[in-house]
Amino acid sequence: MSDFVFATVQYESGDWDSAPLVPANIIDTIARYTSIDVAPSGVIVSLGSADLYRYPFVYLTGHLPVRFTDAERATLRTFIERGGMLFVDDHNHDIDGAFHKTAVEEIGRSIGPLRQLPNDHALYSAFFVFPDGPPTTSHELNGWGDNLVHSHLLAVEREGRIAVLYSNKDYSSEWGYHPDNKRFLAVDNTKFAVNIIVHALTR
Amino acid sequence: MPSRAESARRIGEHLVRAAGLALLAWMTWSLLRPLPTAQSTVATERTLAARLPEWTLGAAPQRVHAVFDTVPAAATRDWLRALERSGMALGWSAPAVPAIAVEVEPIAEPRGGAHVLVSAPGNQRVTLRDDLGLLDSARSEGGGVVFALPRLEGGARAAIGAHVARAPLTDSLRLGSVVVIGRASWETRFVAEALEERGWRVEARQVIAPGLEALRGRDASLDTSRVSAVIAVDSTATRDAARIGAFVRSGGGLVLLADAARAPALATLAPGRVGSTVRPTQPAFASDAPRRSLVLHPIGALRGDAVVLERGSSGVAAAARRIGSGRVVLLGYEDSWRWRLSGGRDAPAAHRAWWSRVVASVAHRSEYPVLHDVVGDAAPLAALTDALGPPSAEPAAVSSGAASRALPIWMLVLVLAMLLAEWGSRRLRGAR
Repeated sequence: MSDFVFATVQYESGDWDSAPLVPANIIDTIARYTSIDVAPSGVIVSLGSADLYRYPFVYLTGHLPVRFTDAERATLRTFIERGGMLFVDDHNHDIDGAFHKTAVEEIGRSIGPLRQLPNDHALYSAFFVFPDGPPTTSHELNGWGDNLVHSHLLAVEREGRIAVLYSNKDYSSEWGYHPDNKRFLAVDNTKFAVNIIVHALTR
Repeated sequence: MPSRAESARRIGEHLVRAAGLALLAWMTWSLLRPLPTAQSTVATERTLAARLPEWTLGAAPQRVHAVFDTVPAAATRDWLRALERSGMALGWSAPAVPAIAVEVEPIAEPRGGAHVLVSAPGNQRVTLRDDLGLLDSARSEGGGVVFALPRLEGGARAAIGAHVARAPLTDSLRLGSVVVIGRASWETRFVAEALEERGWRVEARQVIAPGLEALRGRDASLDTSRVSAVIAVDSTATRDAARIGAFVRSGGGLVLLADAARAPALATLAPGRVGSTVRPTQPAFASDAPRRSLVLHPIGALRGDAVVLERGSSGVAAAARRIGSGRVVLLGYEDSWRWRLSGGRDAPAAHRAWWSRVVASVAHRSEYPVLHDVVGDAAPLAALTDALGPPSAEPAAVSSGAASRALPIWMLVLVLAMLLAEWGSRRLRGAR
């Protein structure tokens, strides 16, 4: 039986590799708290390539405007239709910023419109319990960017499952550190990633 | 004293008179005598309709050989059997009637449907109809042909030309849920998803941490009144091995994947033993043989009661056995979800259909009789043989049927001529 592999999406436009420390940190978190067989290293997979279908969960982030190619849109559409899940995080953390506007537009064009995910969704109790919905990030709280805490995540749902999970709370910054540094934190701020992965694996 | 010539003439007159009277007597007897019974009467379907009442109400022939172009209706068969039991020897042949038989089985999947199994001679065009019309046709190979139908209205009518076999769908099935047990993995998730998409009620128990499971559906007992089948994805199902074994023995179905079958507690249920990993030589999923692109753990050391269901490129890929009232299927494929995601355009549907068939092959089902008004024989030639005995060769020499009473007209003319000649000779002689 194959392991869960954390895959980061490489796309043509923008800075897809803006959060290189996130994969290792999340892999560490999964291994730390769950019994999921997780591969010790993440992979990078091109959004426009058929290799995308080998990783049913993929992570996409960046700061810069997002503009998918036709091949990327087509591949992504098929990926979602067959049961894949895309987790997108705005590394730029602003509502009217270049990444947010363009990413939302591309997702809408490729998959469907993003809608607010209710804060009592099963995602928030898939492993750890987050009674107030998505945990806030230090980047929201420190006033950087739009100076607002985003109370909801956005999602495209297909037949009761989350097909695309979109965050503009900047988890990429929140989780972008070496896993050894978790010992300096009072609360492990990567726990929500466990919920996302467990939800992807169990719906 | 009469002359010699006159004496000879008188003798001739007596002889002619005697011959004429004898011929007249024979003609009279021929008209009045009872008809002789035929040695063997041949009847066809066309003549039977008129002859059966005649034979029943009057004198039946000693022997009848019936030649059928199509299998007669049950009423005709019963009538012939009754005549046979009353003393008439009966033989029959049906040289042009093919041995066709049909059976309908409900498909044990939530979407329902039926399998129609038609037994027929090889290389025959078999057409299939139901109450709404033509459904399909196919050429028989080997012993027959099987049709899979999403829906069957009324009964199935399988025909080779004018020869029809009819059978109703006699059972409807009630299926329980499918319980999927495994750790949180893509295979557990996509197997559950595929079955749900095909209409199965799925309960999933996925281990996400020691002592912690993600549950979908109820976590209740494994019993056949509620659950039709269990799918053990990996060794986490070992915890339930005893319950699973009891469930299978009481009639439940079990699908074991390779990782689960390696656990000793579950291996005792498996039809064989899974071997080491064999990587596919064909990386791209071909639509005609997609599972050849999956990692395979060939199944070996098959138990004596195991049946091979599928062979991969490197060995047995699926095998089954019965345990008690239940069935177990062992699959050697790994990560079938890759077929769904990476296969061709039809891969998701094909993956769903395959998994649904695998589960249907073991699923416990409750059968309920269906009322029907289908009339006809499911195996017409067999029904005819059952009623009248095995067929026999048509007799070589047969009578044409009823003896004729008609006498040729020349015979009457001859009698008159002979009597007139005798009378004329006497009168010319001067005698009275």
